[in-house]
Amino acid sequence: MNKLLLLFFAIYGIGFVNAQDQHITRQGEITFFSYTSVENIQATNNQVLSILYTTNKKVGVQILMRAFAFEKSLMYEHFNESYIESDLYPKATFEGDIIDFDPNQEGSQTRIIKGEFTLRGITKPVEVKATIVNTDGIYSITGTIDVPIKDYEIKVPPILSPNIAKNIQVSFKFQYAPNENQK
Amino acid sequence: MKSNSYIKISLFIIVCIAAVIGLYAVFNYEGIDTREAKTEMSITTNELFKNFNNEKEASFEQYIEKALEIKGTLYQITYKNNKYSLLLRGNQIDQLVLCEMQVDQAPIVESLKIGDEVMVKGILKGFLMDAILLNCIVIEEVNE
Repeated sequence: MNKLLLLFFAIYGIGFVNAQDQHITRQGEITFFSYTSVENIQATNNQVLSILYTTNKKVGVQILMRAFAFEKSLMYEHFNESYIESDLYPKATFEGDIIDFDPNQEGSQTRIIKGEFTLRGITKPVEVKATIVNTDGIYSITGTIDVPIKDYEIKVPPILSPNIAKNIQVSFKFQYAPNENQK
Repeated sequence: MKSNSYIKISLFIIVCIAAVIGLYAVFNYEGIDTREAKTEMSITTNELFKNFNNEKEASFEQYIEKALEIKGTLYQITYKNNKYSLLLRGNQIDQLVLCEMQVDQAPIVESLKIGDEVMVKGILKGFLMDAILLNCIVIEEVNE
């Protein structure tokens, strides 16, 4: 099995004995926006894997970069071949702690998630403000984060520089279900 | 002399128009229809994950961005952002094949039932916990 995935679960699975504290989505949604005066670019990935652990208040995310869908095929090619280099770095990951999260609180709570985001093999600490909703034990997490392209050494050719924003706005929406297959 | 100039100007205009049409087509190309893509491999969900879990993930790298046909049991149908997805399973429940369908597949998807044996064709994007294919079409349905 994918070694990265095993590591992901090894880190986040430690200490869990209760199946009810692991919540999963295989089809989380991430959309990124690049707004410039020249061109607006948007892409959506509906196949994002995320696991929420309510006991130790951690969340993990894995994103397959090639699963972003663009309006135009050429944008997809530029994104994967030139900017992200998806053949070398097929996945992005986030692992974080939800600060002051109360999993028993029904309704909405706004919390900071502190963690590390890895893109193109480069890991940076990030803090994200997120809204967590608990409806009868079914959780969802939504939020947005700005990703500076220079932090992840994304190289844009000078001729295309006016077309690509310096900060990419990334929004996420995860609707979890209890992981009934937890071993 | 005058007719020579007319021919040169006409040729220049034709080349310009062709270039504009060509560039427009390149920038607005929305990608190949999966129906037209050559199938690189036909496999069942059980075979897929058996190979994948036996440390053969690298052997699938050659199929990334290629069209695969995968046969499995329909486990779940989801609908998000105007697109259906089919989740196929084999003997294992913890690893699935996620197939995000082409928009034109909606009428076919709406006729499917959980537990149906289906074969889909889609473009392999890679693996997380599951295998992920986009731009999928249903090519075979066997109701049991």
